[in-house]
Amino acid sequence: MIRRLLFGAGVAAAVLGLVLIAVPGIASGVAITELLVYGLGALALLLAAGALFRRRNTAIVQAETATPERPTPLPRPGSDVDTRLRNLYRLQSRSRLASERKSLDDRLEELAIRVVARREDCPRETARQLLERGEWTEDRYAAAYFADDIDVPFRDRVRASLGGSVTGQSARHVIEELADAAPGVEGDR
Amino acid sequence: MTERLTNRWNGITALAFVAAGIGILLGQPVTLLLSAVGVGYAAFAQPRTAPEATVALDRRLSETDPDPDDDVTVTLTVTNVGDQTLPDVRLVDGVPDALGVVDGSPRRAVTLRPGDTTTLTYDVEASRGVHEWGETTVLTRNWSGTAERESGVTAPGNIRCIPSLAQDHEDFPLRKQTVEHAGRVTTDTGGAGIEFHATREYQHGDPMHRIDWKRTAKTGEFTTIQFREERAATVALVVDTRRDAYVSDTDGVSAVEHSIRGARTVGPALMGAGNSVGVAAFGPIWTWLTPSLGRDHRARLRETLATGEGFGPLPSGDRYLPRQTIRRLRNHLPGDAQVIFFSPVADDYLVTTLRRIEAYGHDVTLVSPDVTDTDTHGGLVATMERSERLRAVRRAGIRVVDWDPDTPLRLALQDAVRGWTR
Repeated sequence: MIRRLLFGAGVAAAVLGLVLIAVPGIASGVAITELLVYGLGALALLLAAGALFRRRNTAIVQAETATPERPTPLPRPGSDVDTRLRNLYRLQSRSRLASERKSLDDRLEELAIRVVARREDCPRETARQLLERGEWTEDRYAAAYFADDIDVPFRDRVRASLGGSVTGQSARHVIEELADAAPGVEGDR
Repeated sequence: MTERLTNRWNGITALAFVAAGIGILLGQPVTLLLSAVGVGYAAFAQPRTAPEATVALDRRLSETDPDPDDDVTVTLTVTNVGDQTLPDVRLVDGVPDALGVVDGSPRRAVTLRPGDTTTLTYDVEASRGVHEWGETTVLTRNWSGTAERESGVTAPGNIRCIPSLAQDHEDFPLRKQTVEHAGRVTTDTGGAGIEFHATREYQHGDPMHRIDWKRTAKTGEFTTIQFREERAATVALVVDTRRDAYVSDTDGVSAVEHSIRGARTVGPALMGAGNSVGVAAFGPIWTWLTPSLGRDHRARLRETLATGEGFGPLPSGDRYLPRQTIRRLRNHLPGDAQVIFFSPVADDYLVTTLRRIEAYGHDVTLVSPDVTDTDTHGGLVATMERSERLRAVRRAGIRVVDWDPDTPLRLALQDAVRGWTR
């Protein structure tokens, strides 16, 4: 409704302007002060600023179309682990980092227990202790992942944290060490 | 259908106001006149409704029952049946989720005057299953693009791709069994058959042809040859179709697809050898074909493996109910049935399941297509987890066929059999 009124007012003003151009005499009785002119100019600039401001705060909205060209992709085995490893480098939120770390921990621990128990031919509990003491591998990064009292050497820690994540680095080492221990699994990362 | 404002041209009035403001303040009529341009654009951007999608769709498929990997040409004709020009029409065809476009494009952007027609042509590669075309997305915008209407228009179209069963009747070694039908499962019981088992003293009523005449001639005593008895088995080919089984190999082919291909090889081989064969989809959508034999049953088996609801090319959105599924399998399996389970063994749950089926008294053989690879750390984890699981399955006394789906199943079988007999 307001739009219509404004539209009407605009049209009326335009018509009036055209009439004034044709018959300037009509306006002779109207006194236009300079103040009114400047006021109108300032108002126009103000409206311009308002329009620009509104523009800045709106984004173009349009339909996102699907991608029908490719069949729906299915996950690769282990892609969830890869995502978690990447997230260790990317995620900023502490709580989400902790939850990612927990899922990764559980998964790697279970795998490590199985692999170590088989390699050492020992019960699961013994394998768990080997992991907790970091005695299952020579690799300090890998050992530090499950053992609380083993630290990665300071220099390496600095280097790893420059690269992003000590945990991520450690997790990778764990996976590689386990793969070395598992027969028939040759990584070519 | 949704209609929305796109915010296009938003703020164009600023152009008019800036020109007017500066023109007035500086007292320059030319600059003031420039604002007319802005007003013009603002007027152009004024309409805020998008036209209705007054289009009619017609979809033609070059073939509706293609073989796997065949290219099917899709021709979608779109006609403006309304009496208004549609200045900006964007079309995205609803290609079935499991199919890939191999040539052409299922998209188009056009202007359609009343009665105008546009044609989209593209090729999809057929793969196993029934594939139904979904809604075609039609976006219609007004001239200035300030408003947009999103509609879904349907035109029927579907293909049924039913791969044939494997032709080469490679033997599938079943586990030993003790049920009484003539057939191919060897038993440790001596009796009628082909393979020599033992000899024993002649008993009244033994058939003449089983008397060991050579020995009789030598020793003067009648002995009867016992052959290893061979009996028909009842076998259920059970395919893991839970969400976890839908993991893909490096070419994007899912483990379920490989499993079904395995079942297409093993099923006819077993039936060829006189066994009754049935199939089951072990997943959110339970599908079951009772074990049987014969020509008609072969056709049913082929059809079920291709189009059975539970054997979809993509994971079902339904929830998997573990207890219910295992109960169903147990209720459907004939008491003496063997189970050949096809699964990538992508989770620990499956190991437990196989043990349970075995504990219910069904001999289980696991055929596991290996879709893992060791290119990434995650891949390594999956590979190691899988081999640990296979080990656990073997420890439970279940036979395992570890199958690289790039090679024929019979090679994996030969390897596996060597391991079993060792």
